[in-house]
Amino acid sequence: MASRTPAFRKLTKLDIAFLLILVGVGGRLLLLRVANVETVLAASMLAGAFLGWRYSLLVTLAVMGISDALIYALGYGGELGLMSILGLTGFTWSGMVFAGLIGAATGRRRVLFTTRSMALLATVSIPATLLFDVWTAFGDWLFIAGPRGLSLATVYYLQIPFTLIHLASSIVFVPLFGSIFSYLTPAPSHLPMPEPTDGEN
Amino acid sequence: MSPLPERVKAALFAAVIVVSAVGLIAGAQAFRPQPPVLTEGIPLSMTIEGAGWTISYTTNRTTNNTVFLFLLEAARTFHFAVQWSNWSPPYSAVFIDSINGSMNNDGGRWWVFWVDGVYANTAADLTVLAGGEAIAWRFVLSGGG
Repeated sequence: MASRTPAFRKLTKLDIAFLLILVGVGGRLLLLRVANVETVLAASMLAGAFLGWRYSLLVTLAVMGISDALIYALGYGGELGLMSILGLTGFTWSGMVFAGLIGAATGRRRVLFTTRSMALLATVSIPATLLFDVWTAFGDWLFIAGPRGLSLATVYYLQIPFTLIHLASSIVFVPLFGSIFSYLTPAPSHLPMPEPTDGEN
Repeated sequence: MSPLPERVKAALFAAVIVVSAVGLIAGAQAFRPQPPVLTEGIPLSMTIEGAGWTISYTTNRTTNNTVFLFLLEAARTFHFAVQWSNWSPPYSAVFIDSINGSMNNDGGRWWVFWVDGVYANTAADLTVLAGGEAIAWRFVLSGGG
């Protein structure tokens, strides 16, 4: 019987990584004027979940590097100064790396083109988003708000509505792109079943 | 009991996601500062320090009770231009681009503001004024807030 697997599902890991980088960079730039709605976390998490932790690092660093370069070239964030930008960059990049590693920990062998897998990814995106926001808000306080007299508690309070929107963004984008990429990703190879041994009575 | 078909599960899951996302965005809106509609004016003062110029504006009766609205009132009174850009919903806000011809990033300077000497960490249209505050806009070098 002929295989019903379409040819485009035979994309390589590098193909998938390239497409995830496009999703991350394109989404971030298109949604630049929409606070905390972004596709980078989804791209990083899905890279981890589908391709493993090494590719999650590759995708995250490529997305953040390319999009940050373009965003700062457009003049965004110029009011912050070089030191603040470098400090924030450290927190945002490492925050996205955490998200990618959380995606990788979800396990690529468990993520399939099923509702159950998408529900799992959406659920895991919640702690990943919370961790990212708590981490980067601390960076904001350390490099921007703190030196200007704001307390860490105030920064976290002001962060709440943005985190709620970020959670909404993640639970939509992670399963949305997750379902697309789980369809495109080659099915995971199964481990060989162990040969049964003779039992003893 | 037979398990639900995959398509039904997918539709239910999509519905849960949509409802959750709408709920989270609605929750975010609850944190948005809402300036009360004033029936009587409040006293406010504003100083705008540009590159080589200063504008001071004081009134005892204004109903423009956000930093942004009060800036526009000062601009109308003294006939200077203010340019801004809008951040899109779900958490829209304004970002001041230029005041009286001094544009952000001219000579590495940017517009930032303080309320009663406290650096503002929210957008001008989300900074609500109760009355009696002194607002200071300054055109400062990057990171000089």
